[in-house]
Amino acid sequence: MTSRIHPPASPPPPEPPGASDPDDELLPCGRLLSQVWADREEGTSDGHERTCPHCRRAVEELDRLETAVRGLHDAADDPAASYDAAPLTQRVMDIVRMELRPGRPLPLAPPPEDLWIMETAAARTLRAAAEQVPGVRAGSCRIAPEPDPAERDSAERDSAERDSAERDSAERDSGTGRVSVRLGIQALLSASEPPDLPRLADAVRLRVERAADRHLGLRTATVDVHVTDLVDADGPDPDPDPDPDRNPDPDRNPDSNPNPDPDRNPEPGPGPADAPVPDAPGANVPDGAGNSSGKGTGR
Amino acid sequence: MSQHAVLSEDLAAAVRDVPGVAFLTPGITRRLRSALTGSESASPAGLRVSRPAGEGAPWRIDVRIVTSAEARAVDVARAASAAVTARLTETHPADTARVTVTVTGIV
Repeated sequence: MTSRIHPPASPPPPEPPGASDPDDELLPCGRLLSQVWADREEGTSDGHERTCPHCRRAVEELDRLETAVRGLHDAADDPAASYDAAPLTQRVMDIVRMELRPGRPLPLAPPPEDLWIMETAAARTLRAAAEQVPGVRAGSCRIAPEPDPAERDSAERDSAERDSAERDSAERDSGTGRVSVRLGIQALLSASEPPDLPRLADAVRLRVERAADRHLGLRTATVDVHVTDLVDADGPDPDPDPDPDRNPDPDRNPDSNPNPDPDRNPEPGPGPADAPVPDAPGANVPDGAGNSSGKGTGR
Repeated sequence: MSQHAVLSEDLAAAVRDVPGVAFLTPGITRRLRSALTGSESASPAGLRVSRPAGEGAPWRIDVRIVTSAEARAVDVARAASAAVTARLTETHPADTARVTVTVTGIV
């Protein structure tokens, strides 16, 4: 179990992703339901939830929910069952997680159009596109609005002066209307030849840019591809789930969760559970692999 | 049924008819929690209608949708926004609105 240090009760923490989501709930203790559930799923703790009755009750509800959904899964093992409930179970839990951690809103169009897509939904599409490149396994994908330099200063000033609770979707940060993508990938090693990492990164970047434009209409300013690891292509796949959207979560403690589905993040996850991509390009690449990240500017 | 509720239902129907809209964001988390706790959810999921500045002021309409993977998200969102505006013009020709459309998922 890892530890997360929550800030003291005062001053209030910055508005977390999804705080304006009407489906989220502020518990009487001041924590968001989504954050409490996320902490439970990630096995993170600062000790508060062990003594807070509100957090404990919220965690118990999550356990009950998972038990109920697992019941659907178990029913699929019944020979008398006429359908396979496992896909339904998976989709229900995926939707629940997506609602709890939708990420930040990203502009689908520049102002004055008020069109947005949540980061989690967009990241799924981009990760799937990256994995279309042979020898690539997609990891963390973070997407952020490209800040508008002309508005950045005033936005920061306004942000500091405004109570975060007053913000709504009308005040979302559209920036220039374009986004910056930061994608971590694992490169699969083959026995015959070492991978050409810069070329691989270029191929991934091209796929991601195309998918962002064709499938989402998201306008990319930059797409940074970071090769975070080299893995044996002939070795066992650490993720037997065929769903390409699944993202292994190394922080997860399987012993703490009885769910047969290891419940790895179905999306890159804007929260702390998201596997961090090293700031230094290629920082996780073994010696000799060199700088394997690529950076390019889009349209 | 209140004016807001009637308008919400009307606008939700318009959004559902837009090609590429799989469904309005279901708010399944809240529904499941409501089922577990026995509480009721007050507002419909996927669409919020308000008039923050009071009667006679512009409507504030917040739409959350899940789109089909076969459709381009921005095109669907744009069409959903247009559908909401068109329906509002039909039912409330003298009113104006600010419409926000958010794609929360793709299936």
